Amino acid sequence: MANIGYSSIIKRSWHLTWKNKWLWVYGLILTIFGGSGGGGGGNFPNFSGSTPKEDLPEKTSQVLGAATNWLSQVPVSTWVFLGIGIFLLVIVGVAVSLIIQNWAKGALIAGLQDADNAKPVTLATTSPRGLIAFKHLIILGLITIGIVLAVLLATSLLVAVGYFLLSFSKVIQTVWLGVVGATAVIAFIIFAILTAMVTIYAERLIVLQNFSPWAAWKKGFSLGHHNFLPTAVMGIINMAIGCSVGCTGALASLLILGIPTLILLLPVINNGSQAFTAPIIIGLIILFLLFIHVQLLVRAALTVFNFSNWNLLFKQLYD
Amino acid sequence: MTNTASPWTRLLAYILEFLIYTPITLILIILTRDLVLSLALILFIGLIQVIFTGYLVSRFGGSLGKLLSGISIVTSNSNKLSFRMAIFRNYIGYMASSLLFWLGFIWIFVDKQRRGWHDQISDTYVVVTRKSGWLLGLVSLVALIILNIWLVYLTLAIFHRLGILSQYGWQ
Repeated sequence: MANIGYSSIIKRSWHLTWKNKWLWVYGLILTIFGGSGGGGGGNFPNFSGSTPKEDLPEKTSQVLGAATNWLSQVPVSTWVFLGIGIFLLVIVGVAVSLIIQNWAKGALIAGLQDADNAKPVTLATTSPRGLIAFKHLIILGLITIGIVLAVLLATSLLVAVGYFLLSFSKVIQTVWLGVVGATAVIAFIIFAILTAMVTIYAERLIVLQNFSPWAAWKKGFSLGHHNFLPTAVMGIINMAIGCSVGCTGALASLLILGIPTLILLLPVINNGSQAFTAPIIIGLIILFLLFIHVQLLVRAALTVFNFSNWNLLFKQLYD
Repeated sequence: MTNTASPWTRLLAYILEFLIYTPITLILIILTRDLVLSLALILFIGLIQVIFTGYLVSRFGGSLGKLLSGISIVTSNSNKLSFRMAIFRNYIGYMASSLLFWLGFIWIFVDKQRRGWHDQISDTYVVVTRKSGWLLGLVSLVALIILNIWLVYLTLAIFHRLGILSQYGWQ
């Protein structure tokens, strides 16, 4: 097993992240469009839907009734036309999202390598590398999804077929479901972690070593499989740093921005909701947007830091 | 690169672009007299506009607003962009520039080469092709503002007369 200098990797990554702020643009794009991979903590919260009230007030039901009447007056052909338009918009949106995500990933990986080799790093020097690599990175993503789905399907089929074949005995059926099912779940989780590791190495093989997607996946599997422990350790380090820095940043932002927010809300607290004037609302919106953007900036820097850690680990394991 | 366009001319071109496509949307709403159908058409027009702008940039060097203002987009070799690169610059590049309160666009004002982030990402420059092009741009701006105000008034008047506004709860 390779002797990995984790502290030197972290120090070097911090240095590269701080000195090459142009790369934060790619970090920002990956934070917003996804693909920032490896960042721990600070996930956006899921808002679960609230239970609808059973007794609607009269005015609400009148509005809903009017809306229903209006909806039924619009011809079906119009709805079909609108539906096709929305469908096309969604397709374009997904395609754009995939392109921008993988372009940013490729540019960031290449940019970090250039930074490590003391080459100049700007948007102009790094963007073309992303443009060269994004198609292969998209194909790699599709290969990974295909393999994961195939394994999931095979595992589910195995459990289901066994369950039905053993229908002559309820006891054996339950044991099969319990033991084999649990083993399959654990094996799938390990496989999912390994797949994530494979993707990390495969991306770097594509961008830095010009591998084709399938060759990169195979070599990435080999690297991930033979270096499972060092890769897992790096993943845990990334998550721990991501969580601590992300949460500290969020708390600090809340404290700093919380004071002006409180000052703005004082009239509302003292005089009630009628004190909600336009300047107060605008002020609150600006403070909220500032908070969101500060968090995005912190996550962007963390994304660059994470990618740098993976780049340097890859360099140690592959070279 | 010499002869790069000033940020104000680029801003003028951007505003012209917006004012050119708004009447198309308003005319659609007037012709269809149906907000839902108009919304559907706007979605299709939006998609067509993406392709049309890419074509204009790759064929003529700029979008409608830029062509009116006498500026155009060129690569670092002073060539026109390819269609794919034009789409990449104008959509993905613009998305990147829109981050952090449109910092990528504001960068045009501070960069020595007057390049925004979308220019750097696509390795392009915006240069002046017609020295007094900004004059035509200004005249077009005034004309388009008047046209847009008139069309908005006309749209609201037609919808009010047909009772369509009250159908959607507007008085």
